Amino acid sequence: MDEIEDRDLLEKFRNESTRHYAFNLIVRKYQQRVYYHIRRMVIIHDDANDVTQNTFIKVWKGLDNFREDSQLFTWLYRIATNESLSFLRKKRTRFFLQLVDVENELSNSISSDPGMSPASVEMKLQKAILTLPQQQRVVFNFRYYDNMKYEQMSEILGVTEGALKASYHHAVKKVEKYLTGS
Amino acid sequence: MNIEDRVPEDINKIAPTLAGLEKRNPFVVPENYFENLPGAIQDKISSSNQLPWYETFQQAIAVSRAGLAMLIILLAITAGLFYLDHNRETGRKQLVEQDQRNMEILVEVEEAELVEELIAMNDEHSTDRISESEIENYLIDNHTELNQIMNEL
Repeated sequence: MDEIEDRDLLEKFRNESTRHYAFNLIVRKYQQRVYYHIRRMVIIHDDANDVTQNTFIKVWKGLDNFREDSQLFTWLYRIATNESLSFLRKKRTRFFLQLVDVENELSNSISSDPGMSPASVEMKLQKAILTLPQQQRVVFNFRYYDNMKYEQMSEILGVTEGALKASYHHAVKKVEKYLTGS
Repeated sequence: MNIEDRVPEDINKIAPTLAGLEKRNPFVVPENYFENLPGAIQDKISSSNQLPWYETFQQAIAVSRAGLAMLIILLAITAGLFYLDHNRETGRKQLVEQDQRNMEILVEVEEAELVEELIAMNDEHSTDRISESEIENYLIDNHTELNQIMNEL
């Protein structure tokens, strides 16, 4: 399926007769990028599934008010990021866990993930990423996996480009340190 | 998901190990997950548009509560009007009954007795009003001649 431009999708969404059809196309176009962004944050598939669905429900409810001041995908990423962080916060509150305990739990989830072999570099990398503070983790994932520009990241996270560059720099160094075991 | 194999150049210097890793997505999803996800989201949207049972119940209670309040007000108004009307009717009945009782008493008393009673009441009142000594005093005070009285009679 050829990807339809966001502008056309939004136009179709605003038309009552093609609203559901357009939304379906938006979900199909962005679901993988949104899902994997969330999955890298919450690690467990079932949680990622819930958060992804909630994200798109929020998109459905808020798309009428989307003013196209930003790109559709940055707006989607902003919702997905907020939903992920909110999910982790709730999880911590629900189980009276410290931030470190949540990251440990996520790290254990990675170890039991059927898609990862125990001694794989990917597993070690994911565990290294989980040692980062949440903000750095988001920035690292955006930059490393999505090759996202700082300008777009700034739009999504509401943080200056300079702060994001510094954040990414620190994150990379920490991950490197974890990988090399030094 | 297509993750580019190219590692961002800016990490080559500060993180050579990380830069040397082949970038691949380590997370797997259940089979056909992305084929089914849009449908699952649409289902959730449809169900979120319908009110959950407890909200429907709450709405029903709210509606019936308003209806009940209206009914109570109507009943109170009706009862008030009925009470006022009943009091008015009772007052009217009491007056009619009193009249009837008076009529019965009048019927039982004979006419001659009534006339006698009225004359006696008149006499009582006249003697009550002016005594004989008062008449004498009046005549003396006004220098009324006996002849004058006799003439007038």
